[in-house]
Amino acid sequence: MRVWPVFKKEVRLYFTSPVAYVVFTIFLVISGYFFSSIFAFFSLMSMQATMNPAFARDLSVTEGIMRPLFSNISVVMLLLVPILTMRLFAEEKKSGTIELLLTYPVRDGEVLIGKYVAAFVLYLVMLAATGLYPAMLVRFARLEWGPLLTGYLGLVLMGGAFLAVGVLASSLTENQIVAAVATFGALLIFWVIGWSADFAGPGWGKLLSHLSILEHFDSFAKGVIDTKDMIYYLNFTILALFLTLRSLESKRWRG
Amino acid sequence: MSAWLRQLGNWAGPAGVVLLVAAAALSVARPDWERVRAALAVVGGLALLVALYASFKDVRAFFARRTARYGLNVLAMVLLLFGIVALVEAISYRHSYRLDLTENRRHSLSPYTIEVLRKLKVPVEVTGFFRSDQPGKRIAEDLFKQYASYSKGKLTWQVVDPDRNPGLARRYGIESYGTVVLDTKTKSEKVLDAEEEKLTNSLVKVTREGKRIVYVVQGHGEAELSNTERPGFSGAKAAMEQANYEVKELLLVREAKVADDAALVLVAGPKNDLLPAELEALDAYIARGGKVLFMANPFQADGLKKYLEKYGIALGDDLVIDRISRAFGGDFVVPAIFQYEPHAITKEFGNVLTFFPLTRSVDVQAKPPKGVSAQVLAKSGPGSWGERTRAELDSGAVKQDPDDRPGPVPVAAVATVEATKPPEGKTNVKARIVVFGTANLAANQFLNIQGNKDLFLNTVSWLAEEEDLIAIRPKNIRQTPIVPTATEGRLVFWIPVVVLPLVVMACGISVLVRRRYTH
Repeated sequence: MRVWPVFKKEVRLYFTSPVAYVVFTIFLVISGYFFSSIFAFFSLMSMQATMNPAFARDLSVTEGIMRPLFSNISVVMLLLVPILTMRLFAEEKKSGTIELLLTYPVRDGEVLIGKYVAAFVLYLVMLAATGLYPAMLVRFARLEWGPLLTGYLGLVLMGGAFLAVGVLASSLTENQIVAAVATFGALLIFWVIGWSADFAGPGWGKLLSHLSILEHFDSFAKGVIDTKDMIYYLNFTILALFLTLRSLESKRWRG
Repeated sequence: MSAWLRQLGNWAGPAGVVLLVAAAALSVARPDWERVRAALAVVGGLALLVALYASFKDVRAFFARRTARYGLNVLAMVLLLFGIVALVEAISYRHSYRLDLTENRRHSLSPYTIEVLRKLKVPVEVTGFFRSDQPGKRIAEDLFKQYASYSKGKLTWQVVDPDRNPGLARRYGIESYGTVVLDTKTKSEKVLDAEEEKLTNSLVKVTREGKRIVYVVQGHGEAELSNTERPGFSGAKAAMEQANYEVKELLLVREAKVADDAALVLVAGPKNDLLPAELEALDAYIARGGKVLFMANPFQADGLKKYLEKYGIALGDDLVIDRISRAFGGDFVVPAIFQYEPHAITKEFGNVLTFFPLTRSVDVQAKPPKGVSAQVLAKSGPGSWGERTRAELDSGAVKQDPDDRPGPVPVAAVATVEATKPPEGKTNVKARIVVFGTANLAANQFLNIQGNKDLFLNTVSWLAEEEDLIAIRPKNIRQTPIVPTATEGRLVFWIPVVVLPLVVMACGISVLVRRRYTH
């Protein structure tokens, strides 16, 4: 496998250009802000609960802080992942280096995997940085490890699907902006598709809400792993990567 | 090929497409114009065929090209993969495995519900009536999905907006959003809140044959079933009815015998003594293996004291005083009960509080009569005592005297009695008797406080030998309130929002600057 050199080059590119740092900084500011405001709200609730015990019934860090935080992080990722992936193929197409890359003795699949994994590693680093929040929470209350684990598992699986869509969009165009906007648009459609489930009648409604990305993240955020949610994200990823591969190949036979 | 045919082909192609699109659009916009639609479709199809024929050479040439061959190949592959993915999704949707990693598995159904679902014999249709934007809708859907997944296809569900399906809503008589209807071929049950306990108990109800009757003895100043005021029993009646019991009044003076269809008899705080003939009727019922719940208020109906001695139960001539109970906002004559002896009724109670307002002590006799085994069910707290001095109670200034019964004081007891005249063909029948020291715990005023309703319903269902209708309490989350100091609160803002991003930014700048100077 000649994935490694491609991967190394991509990671180096990320960290020697401002993109990664800008995306990281913005991401951390936004999710940090979410965390601290949810935390402030939760401690306000706790304070009220000391005066009125009836309030305290549902006062759990897992349900009150981590679960909403996971949903918020997933929304931020929806906005930022397209920026992580927009460059991958579009830039090479624009500068013409894609011809070079595809005529190297490297297979298309290997190029794709190298680039995809590089973006994925970057994404994982971003997620790892959010580990600060539960680490800070441990100081105040005992955390439930199960839901914390499933929350991150959900974010990883969902991010994998997001990144695959981003890679696909990047391979279809040579304009980075177009790639980013197309990725964001596609993801947003899959995000909101469940909303129309109520108007589509029972049968179609179930199909639409099953297609929704949001629908499948919910159970991870609350501490439940369901095989059908995992399979949905994996299928999403595989399908997008497969289409990317076909789009790369088409370079060879399209006139 | 003639030029006019070629010309025609150029026109027919686009025209055919337009006609077909129009036909498709009509099926959405005007579904009733079937003929027009069919005509459009036929003409459009013909036009396309003409176009195809006219440009047959071009089409053939196109498909002969390498690009087209590759393109079709790729298209086939993509379609194949889409098909596989759709298949995998369909299978995973039907057969999914679920792992709840929360500490108390609070997002999963209780074992009891799962048991009920596994044993379902008749198909059940669940319809939830929710507004589209109703907050409880998602939670209910989640519950339905779980119910369906354990039912081996017996339970199907749908969620309907009553505003957009008023016909269906009217058929089921839906009055409020959030109502859930459970339907079998023969029976139908309505649930007003989509909670696991209510859904499961309704499920048991719709799938069970027959109804069980609770007879409530009347005629001695007992709590009234129809009374909706604070001391009334209308809430208890509603709770029992909701648990699928039929509640009937019983005038023992007139009937002289407890009916054979009685699931249990309830004697709820008689003010006056029951007549000897009535007590005999109860005795006869118990001898047949009957089930009776006595709620004997203090200083009332003294006859019960002597009567219950036969069954190994000792009623005290006292009133239980609990100073600690005031801490919960109650009065000192409303003892808070949190000590339960192991028994089927209190099995799942753990440390759930119940309140026994104005109760007497109920103990078991040291030496119960033959064929009787009795046990205490619940006790008041250690700081309480059974006050015997009426004068002190009347004046309101109570203190613990040497002749008062020191706490913890038992306030509820259970006895099982071997039936001396069991119904024919049955052996080893045991009568069941539960005695509470007060009827107030199930009065409207106190029924919904803490665990009172659960205790009452569990007792009723244990007596009626219906262990399958038992409370499933909502799973409590471990409470983890956070009360940070001012400094901690500030740190929780500054570290994640400012410090961490600044560190990352500094790294970025330093890397980029170093690159600029080294190159």
